[in-house]
Amino acid sequence: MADQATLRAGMATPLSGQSYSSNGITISEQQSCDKLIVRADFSDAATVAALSQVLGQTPALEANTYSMADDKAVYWLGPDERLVYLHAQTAADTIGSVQAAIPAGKGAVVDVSDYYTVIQLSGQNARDVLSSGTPFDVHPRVFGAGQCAQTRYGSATVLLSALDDDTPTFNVQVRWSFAQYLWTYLARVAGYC
Amino acid sequence: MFIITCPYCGDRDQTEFTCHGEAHIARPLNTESLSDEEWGDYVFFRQNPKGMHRERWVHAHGCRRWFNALRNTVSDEIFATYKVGDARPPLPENPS
Ligand SMILES: [Zn+2]
Repeated sequence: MADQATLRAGMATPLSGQSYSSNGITISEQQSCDKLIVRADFSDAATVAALSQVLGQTPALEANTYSMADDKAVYWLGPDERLVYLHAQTAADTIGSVQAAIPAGKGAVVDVSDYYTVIQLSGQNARDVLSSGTPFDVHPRVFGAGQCAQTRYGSATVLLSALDDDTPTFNVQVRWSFAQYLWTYLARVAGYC
Repeated sequence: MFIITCPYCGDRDQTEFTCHGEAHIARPLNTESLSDEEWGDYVFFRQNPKGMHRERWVHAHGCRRWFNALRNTVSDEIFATYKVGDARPPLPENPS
């Protein structure tokens, strides 16, 4: 059987992994990875402990933050909702163990791997490019590495996350069907840098 | 443009939210014995006040959670936002 990670790496993404660079800014679509939506009672200590075991980290408990360990990242989406990026495993291989960590009838796990794609902004002008399309305050005072936010960029609903403060780097997750729209917007803005 | 405080995410731009009318309207429990007039009241009739109004909002581009807001329909000022099920914040003394 072919290696699952190799299969995933070769999978199509809406922007074919393209990238664009201008003065102090590079935007590039990231290689796809499998993703899970986890709905559970994150105020319940036993559930959090069981999920931590499976995810290899305490899943982000504070609003507008994400946690990261080894090959997984967990984004806060709502009080009872998290998004898990699987950087090394497939959803099919993981979904069962995550489901088993949640008490029966008290949550849900959904494979959303192909629902989204991620465009990365990196460089000294990344923050400016980001702020030109979103009403969310991305000033380093309030939006630094480890934080994420669901908001708008232009007319697209996005999940922003801040990765690095030294070389400003942000991931913008967008629904597959909005990817081309968002790319065009970002590339147009980056072109003015 | 103004800032609305989502009870879950904090301060966010107005354009991330949508409003869905009057809050705290309980669905009648005795639906089998409800008259047409009573159904009409429940489904269609709203207070539509000029002044303080408790209404339902959803953080559509954010956490997608529903919550309630206490808003002055004249000045558009939002005096409080609160989670569904939480105690209703009191009306302000001097609404502008
Ligand atoms: Zn929210």
